[in-house]
Amino acid sequence: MKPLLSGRSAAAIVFLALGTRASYAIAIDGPQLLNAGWITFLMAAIGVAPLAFSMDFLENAMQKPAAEFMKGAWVRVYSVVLALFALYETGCGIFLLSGSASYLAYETISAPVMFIVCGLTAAAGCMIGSEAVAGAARIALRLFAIAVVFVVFSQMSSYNWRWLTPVFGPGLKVILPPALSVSGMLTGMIPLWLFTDYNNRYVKRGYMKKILLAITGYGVMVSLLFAMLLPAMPKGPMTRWFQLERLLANGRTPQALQVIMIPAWFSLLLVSLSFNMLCATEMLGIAFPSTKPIWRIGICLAAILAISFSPLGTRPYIELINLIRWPVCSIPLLIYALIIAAKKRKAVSPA
Amino acid sequence: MADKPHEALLRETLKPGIQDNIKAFKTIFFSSTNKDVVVREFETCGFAACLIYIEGMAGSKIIAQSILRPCMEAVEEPDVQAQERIEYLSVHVLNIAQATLSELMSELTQFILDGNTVVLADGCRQGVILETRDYEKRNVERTQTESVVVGSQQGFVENLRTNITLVRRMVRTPALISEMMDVGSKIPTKLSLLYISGVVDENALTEIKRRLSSLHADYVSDSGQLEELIEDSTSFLLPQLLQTERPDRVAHCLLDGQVAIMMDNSPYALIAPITLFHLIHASDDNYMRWQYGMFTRFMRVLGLSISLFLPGVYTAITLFHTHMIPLPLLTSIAETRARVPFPVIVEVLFMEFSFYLINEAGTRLPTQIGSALGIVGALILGQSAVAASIISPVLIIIVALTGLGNYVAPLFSITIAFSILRLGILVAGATFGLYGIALLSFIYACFACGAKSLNTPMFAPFAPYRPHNPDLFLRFPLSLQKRPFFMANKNGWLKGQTKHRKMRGWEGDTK
Repeated sequence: MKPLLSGRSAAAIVFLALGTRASYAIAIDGPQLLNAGWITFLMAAIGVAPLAFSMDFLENAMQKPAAEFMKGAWVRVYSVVLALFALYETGCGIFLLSGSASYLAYETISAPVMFIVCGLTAAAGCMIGSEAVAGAARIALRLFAIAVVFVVFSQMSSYNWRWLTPVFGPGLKVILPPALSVSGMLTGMIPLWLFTDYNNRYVKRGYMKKILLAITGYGVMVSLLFAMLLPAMPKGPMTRWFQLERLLANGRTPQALQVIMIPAWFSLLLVSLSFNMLCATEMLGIAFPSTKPIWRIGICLAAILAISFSPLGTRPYIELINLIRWPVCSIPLLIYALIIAAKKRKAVSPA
Repeated sequence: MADKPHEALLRETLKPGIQDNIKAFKTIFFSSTNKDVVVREFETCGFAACLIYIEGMAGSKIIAQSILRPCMEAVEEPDVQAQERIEYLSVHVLNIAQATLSELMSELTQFILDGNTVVLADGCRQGVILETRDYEKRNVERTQTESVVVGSQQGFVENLRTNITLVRRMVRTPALISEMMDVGSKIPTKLSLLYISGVVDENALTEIKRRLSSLHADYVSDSGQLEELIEDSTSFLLPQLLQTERPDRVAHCLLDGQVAIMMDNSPYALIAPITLFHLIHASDDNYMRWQYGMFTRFMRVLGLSISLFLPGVYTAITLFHTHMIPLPLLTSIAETRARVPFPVIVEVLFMEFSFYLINEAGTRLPTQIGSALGIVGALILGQSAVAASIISPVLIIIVALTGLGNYVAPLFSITIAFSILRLGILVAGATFGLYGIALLSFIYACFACGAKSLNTPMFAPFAPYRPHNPDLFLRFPLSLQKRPFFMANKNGWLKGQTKHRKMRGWEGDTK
């Protein structure tokens, strides 16, 4: 059965999941950006804007665009590709979530146990249903908003806008590849667009642009705040774990103040993981409609655990894989939108 | 499977001969051994008649004054045909408000069991059912489990008719429908389905009727059992139907487009569909000034959050994240824990279970002893445990706060559900620290958002979003409220946003 996801729930989950993913891609995986993360995020948003506009165009142009789009046989291949990228994202997310947990002094708990527990939680969310995960995202969104106020106020005196300079950080040559990589991550909205039921009476058509705008605002804000915490350190430690600890420690706040930050961070990552796993299972459902959801979830769980146990979840692979994600995921949909636009123009113009 | 006793006889209709019918009823009621079934034969209007009732269920005084006396004083009417005798008695002789004719043995038997009296006449294939119910029942008293400071103090009783009357007195509209049904395939129990026509969502009503009519339970003794039989998921921990003993709460829910089920012998009504927000609302939220209502509701949410998370977070932080505790507090906790030989989790579980024991014992004991037990439990047990170095003093504060937070829940079932959920959070915190609590909280949130009450998402109208009355977490002024609730009929006659100006119409007059 096609999952029924109302518009606001879909907006909440995609906003949190992709916003978080893109933000940590810049904050944690991009130490080389030297506090120019916010510019990178803007570029990434510009890169993915045509996709959001295309989806909204199709929404307005057709009665059931996702259903029409999914009629072709090639879409099964496309769905598998989207599922693989979503699975990869989930695997990377588990890796990072477990890394974040390790920050909290879990010397006695081994990483595999962390991975398995985390994977099982994401799978449990998928089993309960898309609306349940999206509902949890709506709750997390409110809690996150409160946490952000707390986190920002706890560091209010430490923010220094001068640390945002130089604006382009190490230069465009260094900024562009991560920007393209983040664009690839933001293509995660395609599976959601495909599996959301647009016949739901609570869904308003054409909201992808708004979601992209909101994600951009969120990502830019997080990147700016993060950059204003510490000066750019070209010769400083460039590992992602150093960056992660800097993020989790909210710069230099006393550790007692991190109690709010850390559960909020965990919640965001969990929403992100469940969203990606949900997308993967749904995409596999499109590709192999006869399989039972429980089997798909089981396969996805095995796959994400395999990814998190392998070195695929480390920084060089993340950058490389997300670089090819944008063209692979976007181009089919963009071409489809162009074809529909051409057909519409032909139908409207007089013979 | 064996049939009910005298199943074949119950399927029959009345016979013309009165003796045959008397014999049949005596057989059905085992009257040779069942001495409280009264079969009284007499003569009226020149023909033989008989009345049947159960002593104690029907009022002997009413029977003597309103049935036997007029019958025996009635003069002979030779023009009345044999088949019309019972109708003649019903119209011209019997002095009872409610009288219904029936020829079915099963129906007549059921009415006798309900406390009615059946009168039979010789030569007639029909009997008349007379409303003579007059059994002992509890008076309407104060509510036991849903006490309020402001507002109505009346609670439901075990009598269905009284309960319906209590609701009818609050919702005085002819659109209030009370549909009677029976549940229990072998031994039926009466229930009433209450709703406001034109306000209730027809889909929800149809669904609830479908569930009730397709029950195959032999006997349903109480609304609690009925709840379990008709709820969406039996494994979900939180209640999916609201069980309330307050007529005013039922009235509010009916006006919001919900359906109430009231059962005979149960002092509780079931409300469906509900959302999780109904479970944290108390009746007097609506009766107080909105600022007070908002504050008390906020405190309730805070209390429930504390009761759910505090022991788990304390355990997680002391076991895994000591670096997060400010140094003076950490030193203080370490000092108090220095003499305690057990890990934190053992300490917390010991206190939690002690608390449950005190609670359960206090509930079962008479009120006077119960309060003494509370003092013994709280003061003596706690003090002694600290003195014996079994637990640390900080934990007493944690458990006390948790217990207080738990008891701000307006419904007893929520208190128990939160105690169970808290144990889960405690174990997660002890195993994986804050990480474990975050994981389990996420699963809890998913379950809560995935739960349904009569096919309505229980976290709605928040998740999934539905256009709604903002009166959810906080109590807003009446002028900002949009009644009825989102689950009511979309085009119902109670619909219409009430503007502040319209509600306070006098303001316009004075300006």
